[in-house]
Amino acid sequence: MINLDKLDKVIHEKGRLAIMSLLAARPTWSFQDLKTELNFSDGNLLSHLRTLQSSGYIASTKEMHDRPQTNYSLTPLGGETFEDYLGTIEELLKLNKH
Amino acid sequence: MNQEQWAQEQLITIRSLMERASLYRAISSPTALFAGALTLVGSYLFNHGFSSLIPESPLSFYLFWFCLFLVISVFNIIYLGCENRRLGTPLLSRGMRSAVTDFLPSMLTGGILSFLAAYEGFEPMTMVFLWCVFYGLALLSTRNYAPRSLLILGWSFLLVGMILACLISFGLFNNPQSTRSGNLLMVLSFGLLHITYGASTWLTNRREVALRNAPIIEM
Repeated sequence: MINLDKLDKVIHEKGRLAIMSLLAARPTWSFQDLKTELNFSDGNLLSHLRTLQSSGYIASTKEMHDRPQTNYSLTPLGGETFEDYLGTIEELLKLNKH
Repeated sequence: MNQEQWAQEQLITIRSLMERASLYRAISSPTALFAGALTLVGSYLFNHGFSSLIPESPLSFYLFWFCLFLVISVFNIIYLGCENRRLGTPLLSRGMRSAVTDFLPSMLTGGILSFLAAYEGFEPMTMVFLWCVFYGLALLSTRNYAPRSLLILGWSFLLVGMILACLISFGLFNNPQSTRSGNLLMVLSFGLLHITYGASTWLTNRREVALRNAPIIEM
């Protein structure tokens, strides 16, 4: 039996895990694209993004088009943590198959 | 819910989100630029070089552009294959398989209908109209995983196809039977649209790379 406490608490939350999954699939996402894809409210999304950013899992850059746009991407630490998280889940599935 | 069910659900959610978010550009910027340039060169060659060698007919017009289409397709496959190899993904990646499957119905229908039009002696611009419409539909069929720029290209081809249909219907061309009119339309549609798309996506890609390398600004 694997101890689920091993799983990273920050990305274990459903909303943050969804954000991490999207960022792992495509290098850069704008705030607006994330919001559209996940159907989150501005406040909810921003709160999750701040949590991930303060943990050092994601980074943001600002770009000026017609109006300012914030883009998000995974940091190397974020990528590694996400990989570990997936690894733990896969390990759990393998163990239960035996 | 036991641990196994929970883990399976988590993996399914993650996988579906990642697959949905994966973009696949079925037509690369270099291919678009190559296609645009080849259309311009092809049109010039057809009007000035080949016209004395081959009879000017709808069928010769069809066969000439079909050969160029094959050359461009081979170029695109080779380029995408090289890109996949560089990224360490298989040649027939999931994206490429989906693109080929989604492209095929529209491209095949357009190809067969335009061949029949050529065989029956319809004017070349009817073929250009069919190619624009079915190529536009083929591009739009990849909407689930294509970047926005490719969808804009698809809509542009559909729009150009519709405009051509109106122009043909209202008889606004002086010499509709001429292959020169057909070649001019090829330049204005396939040539210019591909060059515009290729150049703009090339610039966007460069900006994205610059953005990824930009210093991080904390919120």
